[in-house]
Amino acid sequence: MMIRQSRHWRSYMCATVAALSLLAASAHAQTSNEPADKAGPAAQDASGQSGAGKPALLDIPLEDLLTLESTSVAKKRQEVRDAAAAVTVITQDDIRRSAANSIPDLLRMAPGVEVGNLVNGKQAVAIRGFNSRASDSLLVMIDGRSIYVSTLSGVFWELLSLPLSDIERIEIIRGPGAALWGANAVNGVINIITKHSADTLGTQIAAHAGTRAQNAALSFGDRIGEDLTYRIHGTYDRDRGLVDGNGDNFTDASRSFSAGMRVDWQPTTKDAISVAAEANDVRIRRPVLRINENPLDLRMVQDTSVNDNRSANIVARWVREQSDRFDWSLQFAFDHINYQEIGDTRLHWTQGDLDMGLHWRPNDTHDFNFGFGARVIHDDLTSTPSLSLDPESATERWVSSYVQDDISLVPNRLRLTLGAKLEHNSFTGVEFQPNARLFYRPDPAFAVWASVSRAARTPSRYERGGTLDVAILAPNTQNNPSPLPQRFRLIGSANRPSAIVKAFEAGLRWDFVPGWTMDLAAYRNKYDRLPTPITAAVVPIMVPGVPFPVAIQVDSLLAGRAKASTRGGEFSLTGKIAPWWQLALSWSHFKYSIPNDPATGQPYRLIVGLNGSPRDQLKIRTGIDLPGEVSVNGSLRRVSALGVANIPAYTEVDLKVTHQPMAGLDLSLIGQNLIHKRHLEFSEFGYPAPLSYVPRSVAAEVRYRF
Amino acid sequence: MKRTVDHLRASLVTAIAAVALAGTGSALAVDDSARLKAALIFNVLRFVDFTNASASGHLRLCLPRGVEGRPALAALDGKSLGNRSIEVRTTEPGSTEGCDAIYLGSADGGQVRQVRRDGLLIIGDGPAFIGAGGMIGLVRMGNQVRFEVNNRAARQSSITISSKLLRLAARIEQ
Repeated sequence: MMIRQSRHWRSYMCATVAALSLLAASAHAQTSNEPADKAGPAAQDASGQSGAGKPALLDIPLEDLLTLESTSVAKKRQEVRDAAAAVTVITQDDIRRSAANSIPDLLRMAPGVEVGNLVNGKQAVAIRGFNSRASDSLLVMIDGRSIYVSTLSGVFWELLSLPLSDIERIEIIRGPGAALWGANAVNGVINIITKHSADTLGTQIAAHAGTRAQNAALSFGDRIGEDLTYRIHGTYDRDRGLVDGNGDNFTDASRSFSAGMRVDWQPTTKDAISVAAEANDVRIRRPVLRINENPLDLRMVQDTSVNDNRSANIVARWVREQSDRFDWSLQFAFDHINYQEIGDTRLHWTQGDLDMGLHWRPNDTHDFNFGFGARVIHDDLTSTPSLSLDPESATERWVSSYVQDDISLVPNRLRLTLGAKLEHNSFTGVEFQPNARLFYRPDPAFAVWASVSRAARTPSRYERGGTLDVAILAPNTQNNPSPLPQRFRLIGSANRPSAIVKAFEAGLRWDFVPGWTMDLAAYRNKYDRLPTPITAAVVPIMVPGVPFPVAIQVDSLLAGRAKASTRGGEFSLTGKIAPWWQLALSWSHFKYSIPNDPATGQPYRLIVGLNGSPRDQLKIRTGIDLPGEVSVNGSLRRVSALGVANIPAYTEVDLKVTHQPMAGLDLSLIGQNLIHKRHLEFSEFGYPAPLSYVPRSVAAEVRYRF
Repeated sequence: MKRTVDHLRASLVTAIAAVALAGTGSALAVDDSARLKAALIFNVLRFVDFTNASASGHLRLCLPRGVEGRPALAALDGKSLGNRSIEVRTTEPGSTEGCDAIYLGSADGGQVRQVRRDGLLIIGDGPAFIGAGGMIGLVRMGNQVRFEVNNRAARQSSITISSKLLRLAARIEQ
């Protein structure tokens, strides 16, 4: 019976990939033209028989009907298929089917997203290059709150502890998003969107017990009044992390606790107010490499470190629909992070951010989005010999405004989007980040788009005033051909400009048979003013009583003058082989070239390099729903070798089998990285950590909702 | 239609911007809300297994005379549910003869008990509806209508609600 019924799902289940949708808003527009008591025409409208190219309410997938609000909220949400950008959405259904147990692991399923485990608790995540622990070209947000840490650059992924079941979807844009989002949305934007608290009433518990990680999450939601709902959550996580080349643990397990809440209040149909807050305590145990300070035996030695991290944040948002053609939102976010990085340096980082966004549709041709923002960041870093900042404490300010117009040149066929963000910060000054996008749909099943953008990546505080002293290059090696050990220090320089990218993109989407979509995007990015180390001093290290130098100290200053270019593309294919069998396949390709530095005649050296990105990634996901409430979900990924630290190519498989013996209860068996006992994923020059392997793991998981 | 289409056009990037910076908004009028409820009920009927339903090829959705939101629900008449189609019937209050599903609007526990019988899916409105013994409760907050499920009541009436529907419910009573 279930299988037979599921055939009827075909028409709307296909939309999983395109979960973003304005469909609901379209239905709204259609239906609102008819008075309620006119059953005849209303019926036609509601059933989509009105000849519209767009489906009406009855044709909308249930998932989308239930997110109508956040859909029409923005009004500007739309189907992926109508986006003039390379976009992927990870839906809650994808999350539920995935073997992943963390947000970085979830992101692996998206085309073109690079995810590498570096060392316990530290991941490198990037899109279209520049992958690093300090990944500096990707903007990541939770419900619109930026979690990019500008002092050291990058995202502290280990501080994300949301229960995965509370995520509604993750939107991933490949390519610049700076015209709206501002600096650092250079190569991509990831927005993690949590569920409205009214969607998660009742209790949800999840427990995961595996060979490497054990965790538990509890989430509870309730209604206080007709217009007020809330949810609270708590999580606990214990993780033994990565292993060494022999498969042995580096350290004892890391652990974290978190607690959070979200309140949604909708006093009128025009107003929606939500407040979300979270706090956590994350203790990461990890192996580190430290400099053996004996000058006669200068080398890196392995040690362990215990990092106690804490973070807290709150975001409040008020959205008001002033009229059918005008709505606005006001958002305030506050973050505090107390974090230990390289050399156990402690960073206190506080960010306050205020944003106002307005959306105005004066007529059927123009559709404006504009807004203003202000941000203040205060940081304070307790310097250590390994990592220091000058000054140790600083306050930096940003103000920005953006405007974007969607111009309908030929209704429903040809659309031009022009936009720009003007941003001023207290250290590089004004950044102008424009973009233009063209979208053309000659046929309901086929669309092409192209865009050109300019985006800026502001230098981190570390690049402007930091000193990193964590590397001893062994003698007679590729990086140091001399017979003496080399102590390599990297020193930031105060007047570093922003790095700039000019990005050219194009793509197409084709529903080549009903239920199957292919998506192709290609890009060429040209970067300028990237940070490069310039050798400033070479000093022999002398020791009293020894007549010759025992080592060489090389001090390099960061200068923003390197150039590079990247090009590549992503291809994806999604669809259903049968109503109960879904498939998603993607392949991404990445190439780069770095011209010669006229000063040295050698290619520019980059601080965050391009050799940390795989040239090719192949990802295949499938989900099969069997009779008897059993689902089998698997994914395979092939990631080609990295040009850094000889990280070899690897192929890995994840598997998750879920049985639902009764309503609301999911029992799963999960295997991650099943092919190899362990594999390497990532390493980075200048990050003082031993090569760490990702081990195979298996786990059992229970989820219950009541 | 033009209006609808224009309503749709937007760039995704903007879209996401608005979602992130925004949250919620568009004011659906009351009649829109009734249509949204009708669309939700249509989906609910798709995902419910009426084991004991009549083999007539029809799935009968009953609307007691005078129930609110009738016109939008009446529009479901004739809609296909795979190998069956929906037949919307008007019944006298309290009567459930020939019904596979019934929509009571905002009814209390007494009204729910009055219609309860084996094989009948009872749908209604409001946050208290499933607590009063109803099986599917449609709850509006702001512009959004969500549904809640009382799975125990459904089981007791030999109604099987699919796991997909349960997953998407705002609340499940086991």
